[in-house]
Amino acid sequence: MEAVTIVLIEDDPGHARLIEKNIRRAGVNNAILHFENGTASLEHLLNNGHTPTLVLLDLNLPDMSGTQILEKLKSNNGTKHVPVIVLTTTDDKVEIQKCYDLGCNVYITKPVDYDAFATAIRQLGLFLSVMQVPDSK
Amino acid sequence: MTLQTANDQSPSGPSFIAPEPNVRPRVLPTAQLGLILVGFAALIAATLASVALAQRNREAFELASRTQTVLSDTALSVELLEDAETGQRGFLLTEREAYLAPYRAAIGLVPAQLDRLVADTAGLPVAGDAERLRTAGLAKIDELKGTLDLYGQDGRAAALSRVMTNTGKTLMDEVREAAAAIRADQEHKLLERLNAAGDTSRILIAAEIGTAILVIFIALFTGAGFYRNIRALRGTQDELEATNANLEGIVETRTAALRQANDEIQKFAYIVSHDLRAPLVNIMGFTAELESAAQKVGRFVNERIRTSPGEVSAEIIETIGEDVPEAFRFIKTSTAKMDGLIGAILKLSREGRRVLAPEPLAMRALVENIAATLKHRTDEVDAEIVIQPLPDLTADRLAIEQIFGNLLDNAVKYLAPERPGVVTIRGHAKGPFAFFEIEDNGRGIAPDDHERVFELFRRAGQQNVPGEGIGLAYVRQLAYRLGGTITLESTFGHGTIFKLKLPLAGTRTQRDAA
Repeated sequence: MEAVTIVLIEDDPGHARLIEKNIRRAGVNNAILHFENGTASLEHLLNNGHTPTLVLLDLNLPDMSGTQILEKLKSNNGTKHVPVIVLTTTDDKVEIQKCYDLGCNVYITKPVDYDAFATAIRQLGLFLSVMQVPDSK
Repeated sequence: MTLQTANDQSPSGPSFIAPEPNVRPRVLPTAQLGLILVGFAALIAATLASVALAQRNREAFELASRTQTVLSDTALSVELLEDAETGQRGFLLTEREAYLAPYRAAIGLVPAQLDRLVADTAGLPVAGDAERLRTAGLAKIDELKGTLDLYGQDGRAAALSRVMTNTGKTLMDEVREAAAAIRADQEHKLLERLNAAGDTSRILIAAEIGTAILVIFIALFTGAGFYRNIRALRGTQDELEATNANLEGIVETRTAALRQANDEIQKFAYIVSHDLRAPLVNIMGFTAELESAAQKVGRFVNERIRTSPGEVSAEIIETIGEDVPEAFRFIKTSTAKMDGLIGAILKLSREGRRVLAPEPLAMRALVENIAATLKHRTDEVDAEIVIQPLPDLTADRLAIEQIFGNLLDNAVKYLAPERPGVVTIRGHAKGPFAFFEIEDNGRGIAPDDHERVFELFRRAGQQNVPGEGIGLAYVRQLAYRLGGTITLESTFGHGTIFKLKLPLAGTRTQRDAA
């Protein structure tokens, strides 16, 4: 089985770094591809649909909103089975519901309390390590 | 940055006060009222005049009828005397007893009749004539009696000779003369009086017709006025109905405007909370990373101190042991505080968006529940919460619970330690509003801070009790949203009274601010 690539779409380099560090600390060694904007990440995802992929998506991006990316991924046959984990700083219920309606698999809020955040990311890492990512055909 | 200002606009602005109908239902115009009063005055005057005229008329008729009596009594007196004379002459001529009948019939009546005539004319200008008539009349009777007595004593020739003396004729002429004088005077007067009575009657009729015309005129005029008023009222009513029908539209428009403003606040709150939180996540995250790195360095330095004590300077030891942990502590408390503030903004903006659901609330039970949740605190500081009778409301339960919860919580929080705390809640209903007072005998609020305590992130007095400074801002926002207000009265060092005014029933503001 081909190793799953983690696509991290996050405009804040600090957040990206913290997420990566914590994923690594949780013992997940999969390749992490980091994109800082929506356009580049979509270009990659829509053209590399063959590789087993998991998306970590920030909702607030400079060029488009995370929900737009989610919508595009879920309406494309090649990528609609790709699991998407939404990461955001707000715990707005409407926003969360919208993401679930659009087909996101997990929704994680980035808490300011760093320990809690680290725990959440590590749990996500554990989740990633046991999760079987379906073949995206 | 103050969210408060943005939120204040919606509840306190005039947008949700029902528009005043631009035409008020007209009361009776002053001019018309004046006219009605004039009409009534005229009516009263006309009535009085009628009564006075009728009185005058009655007097005129009374006078006329008295004149009639005088005339008829005069005529009767003359007639009786003539009857008596006719009887005497007939008897003396025929010497038959039957001819004496008119004499006998008249003779007894004459004195009384003459007395009556004198009585009738008492005080009148003809009183002298009447007296003359009576004297002559009585003398005439005596003369008649005398001739008849003579007939009885000395026979017919003696009696006739007495008649021939002309005494009787002279007396009778005197009677006729006096009667004529009375008649002439009285007939003239009668005519005069009947004319006067006729005039009065005509004036009376004219006055009554005038009054009737006046009444009809006033009735028509005021009737027209009333009709105009009714028409104006009906017009106003129609306008009101149109306005009412349009009200939905107005409400719709304003609701839309409010919703837009609200959406903008939501967007703003979202941006604020997200954009401020994002760097904060980094600060907190990398602070934690740095702290763990510093701890590693610390452990390394400690190891070195243990193995070769002389090698590490006192400055390094102080830096690792005190300065670095202290810096981390300050960074962490500050970021935690900042997170709290951002959270507070978010909470306020969320509350502004929550749909209020008014329901009947038993206020006593509601406040008792809140007091029960504070029991451990009141027991701790030996304080007491006294709940007096409270009016029930129809309002959003959560909002009311949060208002009273915050106010009671504050009251208990800021009690004065030197005296046993007493917090009293009382209320009454007046008109469409309920008025609540939450009074404490706590530390009080300085006059300069009376408005300030309601501002976001502002706190007053000694800062020895933990708090974020959002409680009262939140309470005021909720009170506004429910269509009410909150103010305070306080004497520094003696206590505070929070005065809360809320609508008894759910207002339109509550329905629309959703």
